[in-house]
Amino acid sequence: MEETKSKNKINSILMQLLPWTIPVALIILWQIAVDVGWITSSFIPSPLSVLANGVSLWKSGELPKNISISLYRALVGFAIGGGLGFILGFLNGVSKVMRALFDTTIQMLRNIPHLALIPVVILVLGIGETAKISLVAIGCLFPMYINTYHGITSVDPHLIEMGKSYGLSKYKLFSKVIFPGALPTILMGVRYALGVMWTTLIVAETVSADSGIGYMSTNAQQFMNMKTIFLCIIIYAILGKLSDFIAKTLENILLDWR
Amino acid sequence: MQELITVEDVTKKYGNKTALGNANLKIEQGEFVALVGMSGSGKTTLLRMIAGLEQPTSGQIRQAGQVVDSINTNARVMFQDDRLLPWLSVRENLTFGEHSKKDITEADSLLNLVGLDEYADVYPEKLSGGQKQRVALARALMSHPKLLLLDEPLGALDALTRLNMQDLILQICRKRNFTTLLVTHDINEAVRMANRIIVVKNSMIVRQVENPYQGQDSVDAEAKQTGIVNDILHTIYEKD
Repeated sequence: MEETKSKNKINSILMQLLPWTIPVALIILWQIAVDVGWITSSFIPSPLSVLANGVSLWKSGELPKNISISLYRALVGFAIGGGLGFILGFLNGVSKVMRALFDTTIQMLRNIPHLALIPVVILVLGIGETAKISLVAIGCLFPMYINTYHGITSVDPHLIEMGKSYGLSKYKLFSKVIFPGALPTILMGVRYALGVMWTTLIVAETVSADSGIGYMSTNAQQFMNMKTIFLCIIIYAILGKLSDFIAKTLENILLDWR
Repeated sequence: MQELITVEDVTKKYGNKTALGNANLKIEQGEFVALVGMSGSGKTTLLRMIAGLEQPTSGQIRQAGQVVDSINTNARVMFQDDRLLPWLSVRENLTFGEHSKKDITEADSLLNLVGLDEYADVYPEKLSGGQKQRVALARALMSHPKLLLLDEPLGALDALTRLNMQDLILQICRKRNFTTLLVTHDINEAVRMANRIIVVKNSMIVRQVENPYQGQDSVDAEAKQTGIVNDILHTIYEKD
């Protein structure tokens, strides 16, 4: 009995470590490739030198400043775009009149690649914070809209009929039947929107910025500072993974019944 | 006995198709009535109209004198599929997430009645088909409805679970003196459970059969029940 328990514990630890084996192996391979000279270090710096550069930039205060600015833009853009997408998706999902009024327009706008709007956004809003936050918001709006709308309209009609036949008020029907039924799809939208949030921010900060991780990367490119460029790429990967972790945690908490 | 449900010249059409034509029916308080007939004969349409889920094209349905012209909140429907909310626990499915002491006490007492009190905190996914239907039955009994509408609730269950559920429903309805309307295509089930059987054929109520052997298990009663079953089957299959 004890043996089975400890075996299960070991298996569970191994399963938790398994997803990290490939990234760790790749980093080790990368370090070895640079150390033995398969790759020129001036072209692709070793992971350890990238890390050292990161520590030095952190100590100088440059890295925390740029990370916090990027995080601020990402989160505010996500909150505005994701919030608007949720509200529009919700309204169009529950009201036929709203659907008839807005859905065609939203579907037309949705098919325009939001990054194609960069020149327009720069011309109209300049290169300040508003432009970058707006781009992130536009990028996050559509995945949230589509998933909220789809989630609400695809709730099992039998459950809605049951709720009505049991005399549930409109509020209760929404809070106990429609919203929980739509939640898995809405959370999928959150996950997509978080992905779009980072890609949009990277592009927005690369094209027009004087701060943020994207700016650090573009600036480093002008000085052929490969260590900083790679550092920025790794930071994006970590932030992307962090977003995914947050989305998964949200799913685990809110959809524990699954 | 006092009359609870009155169906008066009720017709339901979907476009040009008549789902139920000129139906007249009276159900008294405490009765257990079964509607039998082949698929598409109009029995579920009648039940849905009594539940207020659909409105008659013409005619009128009244419950205790009140016209049923919207959702009938004095009736509770138990559907063929359990329609439990998978994101709520078994107890919460009964209370719809309400946490008042009164609701929880009532839910727990009903779960005890259907023999599922130990499953109160689990999600419906963990239950078998028969257990889910028992939860659905308990949910239908919350707030003491005046009328219980059973829309083929046992159709998807295996034979043994079905028999157990028939006994449970019958026992509860007798104990609590519920007025019950059961829709089923299983004549044996109807004759076992109901004191009156209504035969629906080609969208019309064609016959009503009194069943004095409701819920009786003796050899003699079962033989009499078989006679009624054969008689009803003859009505259903005889050519017009």
